[in-house]
Amino acid sequence: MSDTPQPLLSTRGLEKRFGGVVAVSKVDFDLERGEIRCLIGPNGAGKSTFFKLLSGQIRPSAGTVLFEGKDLVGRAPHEIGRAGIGIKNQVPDVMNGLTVRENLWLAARARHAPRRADTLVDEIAERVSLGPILGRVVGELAHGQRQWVEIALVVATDPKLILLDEPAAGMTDEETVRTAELIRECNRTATIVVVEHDMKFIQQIARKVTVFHQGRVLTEGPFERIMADPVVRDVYLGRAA
Amino acid sequence: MDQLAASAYLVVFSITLLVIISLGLAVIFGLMKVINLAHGEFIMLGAYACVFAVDAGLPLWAACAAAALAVGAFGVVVERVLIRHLYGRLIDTLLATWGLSLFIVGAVTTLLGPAGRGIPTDFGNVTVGALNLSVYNLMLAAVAVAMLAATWGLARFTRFGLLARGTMQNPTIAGAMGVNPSLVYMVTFGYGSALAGLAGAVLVPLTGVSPTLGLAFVAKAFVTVITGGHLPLLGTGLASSIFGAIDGVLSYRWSSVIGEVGVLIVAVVVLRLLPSGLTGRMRSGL
Amino acid sequence: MTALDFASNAAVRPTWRWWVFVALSVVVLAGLPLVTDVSLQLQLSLIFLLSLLALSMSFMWGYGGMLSFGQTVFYGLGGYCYAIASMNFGTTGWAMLIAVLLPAVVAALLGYFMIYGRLSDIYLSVITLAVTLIFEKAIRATSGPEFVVGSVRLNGQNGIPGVPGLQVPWQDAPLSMEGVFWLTAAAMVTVYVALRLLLTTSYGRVLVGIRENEARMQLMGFDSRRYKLAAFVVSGAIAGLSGALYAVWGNFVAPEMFNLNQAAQVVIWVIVGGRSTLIGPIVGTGVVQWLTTWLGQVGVGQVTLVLGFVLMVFVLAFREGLLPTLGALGRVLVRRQPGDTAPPVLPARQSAPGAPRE
Repeated sequence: MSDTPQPLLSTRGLEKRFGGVVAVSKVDFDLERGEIRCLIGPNGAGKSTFFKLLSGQIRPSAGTVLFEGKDLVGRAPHEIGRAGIGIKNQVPDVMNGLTVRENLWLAARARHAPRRADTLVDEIAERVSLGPILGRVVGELAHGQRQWVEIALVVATDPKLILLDEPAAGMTDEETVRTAELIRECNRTATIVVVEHDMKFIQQIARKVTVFHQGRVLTEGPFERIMADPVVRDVYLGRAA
Repeated sequence: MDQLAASAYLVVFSITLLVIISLGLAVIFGLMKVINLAHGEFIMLGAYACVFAVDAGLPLWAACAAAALAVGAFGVVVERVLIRHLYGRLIDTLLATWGLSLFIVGAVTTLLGPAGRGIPTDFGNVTVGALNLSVYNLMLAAVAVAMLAATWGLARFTRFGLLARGTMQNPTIAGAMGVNPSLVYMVTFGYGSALAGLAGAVLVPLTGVSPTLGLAFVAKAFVTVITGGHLPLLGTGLASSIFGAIDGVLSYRWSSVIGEVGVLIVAVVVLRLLPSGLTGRMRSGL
Repeated sequence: MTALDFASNAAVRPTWRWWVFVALSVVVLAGLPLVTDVSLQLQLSLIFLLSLLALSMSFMWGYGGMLSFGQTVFYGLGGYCYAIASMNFGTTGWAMLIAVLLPAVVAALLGYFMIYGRLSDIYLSVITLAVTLIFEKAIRATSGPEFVVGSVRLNGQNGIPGVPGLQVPWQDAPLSMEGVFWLTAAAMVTVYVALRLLLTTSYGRVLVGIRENEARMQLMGFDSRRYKLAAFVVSGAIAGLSGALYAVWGNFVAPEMFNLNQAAQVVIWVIVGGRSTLIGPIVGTGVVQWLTTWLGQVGVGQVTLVLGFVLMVFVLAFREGLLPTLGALGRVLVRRQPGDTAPPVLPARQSAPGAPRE
């Protein structure tokens, strides 16, 4: 009779096949509330596919994805958003033709009444340090800034779980540091899963790391232990079977 | 029994007609994802070309071949001048080809006048049981089969066909392997146009030709191709068979208008259930 | 804000300049019949009511992101409803109401069918095209005397003549040509203002957001289908109104209201004027209609030829239409003040079926 709370997100036997290729193979995965979990692994290890399975963007060939105990598979995108999951994919995916303010307003409006959304915009902008560029059209911003706008959009909907796919991709070192701060700040209210390559970035945010290899979970554990693990190193250098 | 035979004949004829008018559009849509709304006008141009060729003394079969070549060449020009600039922009291609269709109709009306023309056919009839069948209609069935077979043969057994199929599956990789997608598209559009021209030519003895001939065909072809999905041969074949059957049966039982409306309604329902068309989910095949 | 900020397509709150523009327009339109002859009023009224059709399409396309070739369906339905209802019941006021409501209901059904079926953009366009064809064929085939609604024969190819003009409470006779002019002008201005204001509401802003990036909006939790369906229904109602006004204007309805040529014309008006604005389609309708009438006086085939050419040129070169292009030009020529917040417009994305996912 265990008293441990139910994991926030878990998968059982999750599998995805593309034609003859098995991208993700029978993965069991558990995520506790309040974690920041990083998914790492060499290219082609299946972490991006796994990410898309978690976020409901692709359907599994087999297995389940449970969020707060409820099955996510087959749910419409807006239902997933409403359930409290915020998703940010690799390529900035925002409303390019609109201003930053309008983007944030829409995100706030997703959860609040219009008037409340008006005031929330400034709060979010403050939190993510977007104040100076509120009036700019998003399509004209630099890549790093657009990434932050999207992170702000995700944060603005008060999600319980935030899924980020390479949030620091294409950023300068200073931008990366700031993004890491942002993520740690978000962790105060949300559980976070990050798929990443950049080790320096992971170092700034990770506590627990899951390593993928050839569609399976190779190993899982605290960041320092994983980094010291020779098997993990071999996998990255291509020496492992 | 006679009723069955009569409606079967109508069904076969409807299917034949659909295959003939749709195949050109299907090849272009399947390969290039281009919806050529001027397809009806290409058919019309083929019909006019055939009429002029016959006037000039060519036998019907030669006139049809000439028409196919002429419209094929015209298609190549259109691709270079118009379509090429709009790759990937589906809606824009739709609109631009719609403009082209209006332009061609207007030009033909201005140059040749609005009145229609025909050519005489005297292939006669043949009696099968209690049915009086037009020989020409039966020949058309052969033409439809020939068009399908030729396209299949080209795709399967020629080098160009291989390049085209590769480009259809994955243009980027094909490009990386040295295939010039632009060239492939140009030739494909030309081939699809030639098929349209052939369709017009081959149907002239039945329908005659006028500047607005295209309007009668484009809707049917369009609906058949879209419902068929992205595989040109299989999709068009399936969709033509289904719609031809429905049209044939409904036309026989009630009227051709009911037949056409019935087909359109079924198309709408099919697309609602299978949003990518009948062959939309199939990864391989033609 | 530049002087051309009414040519913006984002949900920007209209400035006092815009209100002045509207007020001036009302004054000018009200005064026009006093200084023009009846034939010009006739022409202008037609342009006004057709611009409603254009507005309905640009609202759905430029703001809702859906290209539907089916606006002519609701236009035709509106016209035929008004004709049938007014000739059956004898009262034109109710007929007007039905002429707006029935197309709205049909739009709701058709829209539900397509939008909740998650059809991609291109297939939505195709299905609306197919529906236009269905209606045209169906109406054309109603020549026989058995096709009656109440006491009114549908008449197939020939259409329904003798449709009564709109009766008004303050006079015995139905509206005069002058009255129709004011009616159509009022309808045009009202719908334009209403749509413009709708875009500043929460609904309008969300709709624009969906047009910009439907996937992202869905991930944020918006059920985009509801918003798009509402836009489809509103567009259908406006198109129905346009059709009813046509019936009042011409005292006549015909299957041509449903046909592909009519659908093509609507598309051309919107493209020429600029689909990403609301004032653009009005201007586009005016320009193209005037051009068409002038060409019609010159020769038969030329009209179609020129329209086709115009469409091709605009798609290739002036994708955003006249007004936004002029607007962009204007912004380049007129130096912008710092703190300007009128956002420039980036063209909406087009989706391709089967496009490889990055």
